[in-house]
Amino acid sequence: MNTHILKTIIRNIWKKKFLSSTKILGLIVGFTVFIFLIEKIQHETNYDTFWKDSESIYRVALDLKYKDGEEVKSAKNFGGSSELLEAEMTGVVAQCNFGRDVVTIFNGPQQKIQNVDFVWSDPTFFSVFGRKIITTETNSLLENIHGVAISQSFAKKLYGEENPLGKELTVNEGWKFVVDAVFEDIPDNSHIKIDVVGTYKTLFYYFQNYDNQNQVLVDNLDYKYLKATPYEKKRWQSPIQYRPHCYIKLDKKTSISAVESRLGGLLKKVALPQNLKEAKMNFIFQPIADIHLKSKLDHELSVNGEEMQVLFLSIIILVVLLVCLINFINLNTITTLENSKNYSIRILNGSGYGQVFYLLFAETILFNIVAIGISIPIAHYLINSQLPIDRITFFTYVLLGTIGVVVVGIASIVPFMSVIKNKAFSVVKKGNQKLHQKWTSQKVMVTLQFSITIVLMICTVGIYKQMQFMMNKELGFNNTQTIFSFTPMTMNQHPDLVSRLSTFRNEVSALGGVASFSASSSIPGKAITRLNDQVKAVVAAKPYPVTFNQISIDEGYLDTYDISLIAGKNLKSESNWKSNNILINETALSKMGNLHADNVIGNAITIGNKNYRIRGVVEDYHHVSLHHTVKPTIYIQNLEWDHAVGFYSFKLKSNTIAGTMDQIAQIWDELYPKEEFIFNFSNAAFENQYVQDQKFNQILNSSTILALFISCIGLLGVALFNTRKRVKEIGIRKVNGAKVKQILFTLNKDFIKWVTIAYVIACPIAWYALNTWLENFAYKTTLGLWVYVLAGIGALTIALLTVSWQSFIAASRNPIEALRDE
Amino acid sequence: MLLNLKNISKWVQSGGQKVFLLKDINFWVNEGDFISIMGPSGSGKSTLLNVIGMLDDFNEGEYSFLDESVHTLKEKHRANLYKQYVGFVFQAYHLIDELTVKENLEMPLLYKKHSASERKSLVGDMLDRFNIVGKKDLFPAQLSGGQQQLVGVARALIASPKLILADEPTGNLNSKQGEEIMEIFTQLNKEGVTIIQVTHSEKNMAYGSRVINLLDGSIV
Repeated sequence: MNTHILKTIIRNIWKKKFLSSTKILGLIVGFTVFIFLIEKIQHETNYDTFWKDSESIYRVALDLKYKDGEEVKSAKNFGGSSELLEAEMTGVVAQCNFGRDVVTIFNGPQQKIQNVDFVWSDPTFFSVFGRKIITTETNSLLENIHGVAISQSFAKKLYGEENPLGKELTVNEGWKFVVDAVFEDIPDNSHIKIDVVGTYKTLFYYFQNYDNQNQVLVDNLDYKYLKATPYEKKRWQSPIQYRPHCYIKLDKKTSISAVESRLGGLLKKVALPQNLKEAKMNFIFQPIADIHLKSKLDHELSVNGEEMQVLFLSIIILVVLLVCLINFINLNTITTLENSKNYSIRILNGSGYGQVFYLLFAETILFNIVAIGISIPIAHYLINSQLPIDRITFFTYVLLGTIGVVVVGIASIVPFMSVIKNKAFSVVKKGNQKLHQKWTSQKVMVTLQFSITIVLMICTVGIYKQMQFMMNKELGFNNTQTIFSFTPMTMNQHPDLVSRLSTFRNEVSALGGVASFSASSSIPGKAITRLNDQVKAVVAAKPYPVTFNQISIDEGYLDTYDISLIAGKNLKSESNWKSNNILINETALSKMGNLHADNVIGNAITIGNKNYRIRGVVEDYHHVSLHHTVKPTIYIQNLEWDHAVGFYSFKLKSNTIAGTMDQIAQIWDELYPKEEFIFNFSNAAFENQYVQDQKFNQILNSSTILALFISCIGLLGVALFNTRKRVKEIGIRKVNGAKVKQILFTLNKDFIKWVTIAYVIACPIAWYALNTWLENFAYKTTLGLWVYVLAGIGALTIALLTVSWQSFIAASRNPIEALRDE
Repeated sequence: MLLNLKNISKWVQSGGQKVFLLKDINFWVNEGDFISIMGPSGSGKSTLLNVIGMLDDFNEGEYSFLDESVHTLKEKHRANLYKQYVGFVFQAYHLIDELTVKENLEMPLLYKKHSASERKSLVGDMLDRFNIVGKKDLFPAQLSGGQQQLVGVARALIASPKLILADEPTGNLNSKQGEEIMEIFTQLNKEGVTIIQVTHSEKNMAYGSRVINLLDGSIV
């Protein structure tokens, strides 16, 4: 680029400050959104692709239909499954299965880390899930019966910069482990989140040899860990909640279809229990990289992503890019038109068309380079603060470069062809007299741009409405002014557990600020992880063909969360917090046959091999988010927690919340001196379930606003050109007596027409998109006509405001300026 | 007296100096006059016409139109005044390309309070009068220059103004077409319409009853 051209371009840009800045602004916004969303999509689609040989790792999920039972597709499987595959199939090079646990780890007096992801597995864990490992030299990996492996970042959290190897770790009720190995962190985009890995061997050893009375481990040197082989019945008997997640790894030469084809007859080698022999049982092999977006099984390890959202995001990228491109082309055409005198003079003085194109091309490149240069740091900042990603990937840069080239190409060729190569362009005539024929395409493009924006607007309003619907829907319980804490871990298995809990309850309930107290295995907003498919009307009967959710509660639970009974009575207070009374919910009732609620009170029920009696029927309430329907649930009176973690909930009286919480903490400190009292608000925990939705909503919102913004810039450009083109007409009309108001109407009429057409195109598309999105929710809001009307009026108002400014300037000009130029 | 200009001056600032476009113009027009303004390029003919037509401001002097002093009127009143009494004819016709002959004629009426039926009959009268009924649905681009100017004149007349201001109305026409237009002006003048035309041509000047010669913004 020689200096003459550079000078011309810069002067041009400077002369048309407004057009230039709208151009560059549109591009910056477009590129920034592009980088951000591409990163977000890559993050979502690259889940679990970082594992070494990730394409040959599969989860073995279970599709099980007991005789006369319902079909359950579960992410969990029998421990024997992956072990059997490894033993029987050539090509399966490694297997592991693990059970997830959630623990509290104590790292100092009164200091604890809650919610630590702990898995119990075999040392083979790392043969499937390859990680770099630093280990002590004396032992092979996880051979030490006291040893666990922890992640790098968790080691840092616990021990800071000190060497973690050989350090001690205290878990829950006082199990002490030694850090035997440190493994490289599992990146954020994995469906598996693990801080600590321990072996089954260690688990059973501690179970057998831990003295709960004195809270010490009594080492037993004769201990032998005897694991059943996958051919034994034992490995195929565990009920759902104790089943592990199972994974296999194939060698490079073996395809999963080869494994699947050899499955037939495999299970005949196993001594299956009777119920499985009669059942239809199938293994589902899920490529590990597909789990996050595609797996929709029951009992997933973590909340998976939505393929739908990735689709939506991709569409948004395309939309924003399209809007941005259209806009840039439009504005570039306008500047080219405005500069056409300049180009004519050049051609008159002997420049070829090629050189004129080069000038145009160089200017377009300059704009794009500047815009990309500015948007990269902005996007980088956004990515850092909004996503768990710390840098822009190379792939994104390549993509960005490609997009840039495409934009530059199209945005310089289109104006060149439509203005300079156009017949109407004459080197002797004044440039922009007769271009309206060609202008149709620009109108079409702006209409398209606006349709897209209106679709986004309608979707935003619709999604906002669904979010509001979820936030405000009657959930069947009340968790305001309710706080909860995890149960004290140091008390697990402790002989004083019950007596201290009773004391704690009595003292807390005596406080003036506490309305009620409850100890339960789950609270609204927290998943129920205990499931039971062995619920029977009588011992001899077949189980109901349903999987029931199972929660342990006490007599305070219903009061604490304001849950209503539709029949029967609440549980009674029991000194040992245990009874054979249970409550069931309405859905459970309906699954037990079409009985009236009053008629089941007092009925006997068998769960597993224990007998219970139904004492009451609870009105259905939404224990988890509205993505899910209400599940049949059984409420049992006992103190059995999921993963050894239960909840203490406190309903507070409104006036003295802060003081009351201090008092509770004091009581806690007296009774459970080894750990601090940490509480959270129950309603916050419930809303937390919608974080994904809210984030998505946020992205959609910002994209909509930005797309709207770019569209408005585009519209402004078109308005600018339109009025400039019609300067003569405006002049004539004014000379013939038109007032500003009337001119405004004449000019805006066209724009109203375009926006209306855009609106008509947008409505059905938006309707379809919204309804597809709402399919994700078990409970949906209704989308009245007003959503569409609102978006339409909104778009029209914004368009008119944008356009009217230009129209007004044009309309209030003195007409003789326009008519003078003969 | 239809209008009267007293000591009208108009200037622009250029490089710190006043450049006079009009300088000390004194000038009156009676109803029924047919006046030709002559002068070389840049002498201020069109500027003077625009001032008379109230499309342009002036810096100094007094201008009264039908006993209203234009220089003290508010913009809105001034607009009403010229809407009611003045019609314009331009050298380049200034028809709206996107409108048909009929619609072009109707356009000024849209900005005055006329009902649809009134507009229809007024347009019909004009089409008859200028013998262009057959052309009413054509677009300007489909007409010859002479026909376009005919439409231009018809449009200027449609709201029955007292005064027609014509800026070189025959400048883009051949001599035959030019003569036709000048004949029409003469005819209109006889019917009582006041006409002020700017012209280069001695021949056209002869149609007028009075001539004003301009040079460098002053009457000579």
